[in-house]
Amino acid sequence: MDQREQEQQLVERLAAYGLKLPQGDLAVLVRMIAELEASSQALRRDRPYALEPLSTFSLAPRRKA
Amino acid sequence: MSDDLCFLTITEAAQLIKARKLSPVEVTAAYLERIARLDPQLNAYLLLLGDDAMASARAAEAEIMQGHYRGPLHGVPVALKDIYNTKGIRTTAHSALLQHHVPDEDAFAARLLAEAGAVLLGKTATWEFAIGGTSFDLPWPPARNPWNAAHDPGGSSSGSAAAVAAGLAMAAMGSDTGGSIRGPAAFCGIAGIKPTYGLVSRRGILPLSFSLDHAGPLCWTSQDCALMMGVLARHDPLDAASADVPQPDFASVTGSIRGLRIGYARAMTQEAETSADVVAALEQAIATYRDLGAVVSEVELAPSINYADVASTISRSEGYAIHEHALTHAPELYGQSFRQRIVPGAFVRACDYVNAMRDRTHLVQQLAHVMTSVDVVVTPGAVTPAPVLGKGAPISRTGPSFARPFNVTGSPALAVCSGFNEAGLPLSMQIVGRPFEDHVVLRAGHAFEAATQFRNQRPKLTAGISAAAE
Repeated sequence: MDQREQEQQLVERLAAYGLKLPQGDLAVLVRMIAELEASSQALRRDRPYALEPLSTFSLAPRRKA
Repeated sequence: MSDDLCFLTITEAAQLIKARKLSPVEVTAAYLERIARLDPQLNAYLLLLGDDAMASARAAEAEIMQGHYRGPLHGVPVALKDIYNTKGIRTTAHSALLQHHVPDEDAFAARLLAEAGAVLLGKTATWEFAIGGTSFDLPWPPARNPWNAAHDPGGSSSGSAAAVAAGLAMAAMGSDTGGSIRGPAAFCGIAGIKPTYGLVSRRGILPLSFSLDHAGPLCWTSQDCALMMGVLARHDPLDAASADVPQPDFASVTGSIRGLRIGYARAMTQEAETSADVVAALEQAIATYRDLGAVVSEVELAPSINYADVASTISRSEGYAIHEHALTHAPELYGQSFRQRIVPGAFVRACDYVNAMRDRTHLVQQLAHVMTSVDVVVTPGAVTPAPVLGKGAPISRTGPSFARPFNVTGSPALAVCSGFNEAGLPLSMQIVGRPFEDHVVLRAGHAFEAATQFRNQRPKLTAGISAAAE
């Protein structure tokens, strides 16, 4: 997909989120979104059974460190 | 003479003010005169509060003369990054979106400084909403580097760093989500600390990323940062992330560092392709630490990209959540650089955010393990000296950052000036500690500054001209 097609696709993706941005934003946005998606891909790793907790929600008062 | 007053540190000024040998009115007037003369070439300030500052200075003077001395910040002129809400005083985040925004309450940190008797000189320039980069399409121009006005002061606490370095404020407040205190401190040759996450309240500071935002001071010296932290490090029950812990012993900042175990992150330094002058200054700094009796070894941290992936996923998604409404309704009120940096957060999936938070825990544990064998870790303060204004390396996933890992881990991290390159631009070192050992980090910074002569060198500024330091 060439740069123009990538930008056109991005315009459609942005519109789905209610975003309408100047044409001049798009070239850099294409790159930065691709990089952020690469980060997401890297974070997925090998997590076949990703049972590790994010955090433990608790309403108990915290003790001082 | 008045310029000499503007080169006093808080430590020096506090002794004189307490002894009634220096009036807060005299020193505040000196700052206001110097700002009027020099800030037009630096754009460190968005808003100057001359009349209010003089009124505060007179009130401070009256109190001190009546024997009511509040402490080391009493009568000391300071500035606030223009993301700190100030009651009745415009707070804009350097954005057209908030061009006329006047808060009805002070940020908690701003209130603490006021209660300590500090004199607020004004609100300083920042990257738009603390992320937008050096931008030329905003209602106000970007700040410039006092060591060479053609160069960048760094960001996002650009105006705060420029003001302190140029003698336009004795101290200033900043914020740090991915290096925004330490980066400008490095480029402007001053001390700036990102405290332990939660040690300084963020209430009333316009947020960028709730999970990564830190608030902290920028000063000429580490010892001054310690004095500021002595006022700022208070539990705030209305900031959910505020830590309810005993205040670190900031009074110990002048103590010996003999036996301090220092871990040099050599591999991370080399991986980043750090510029030769920065590396040379850091290695000389390590030699200085050895001479002071510290024990130096090498430490290995996680690959930089691991921190980058976690930081960007968290910060962009949280930042986008804050700004989604305005971006969908009035995107033209933001600068282009801000839009380009924040809009990608719209595409972070919830499960990606969860994974980032999981990995964050692992990275915190990894660093804690490394720091069982050392007391502090040192890295360069920045990959290069200050670039030409607006010409810094573009933000990228693989672009190196010494600052960002320690936003992820929440560690206390201090940037101190480690020297100057041949062009007269500052070089910097970062000192990182264990959580809530901010005083150890500051002690290491102070020891280095006291053993070297770099704190004797100021930018040479004259009205209309900015020249490199002698």
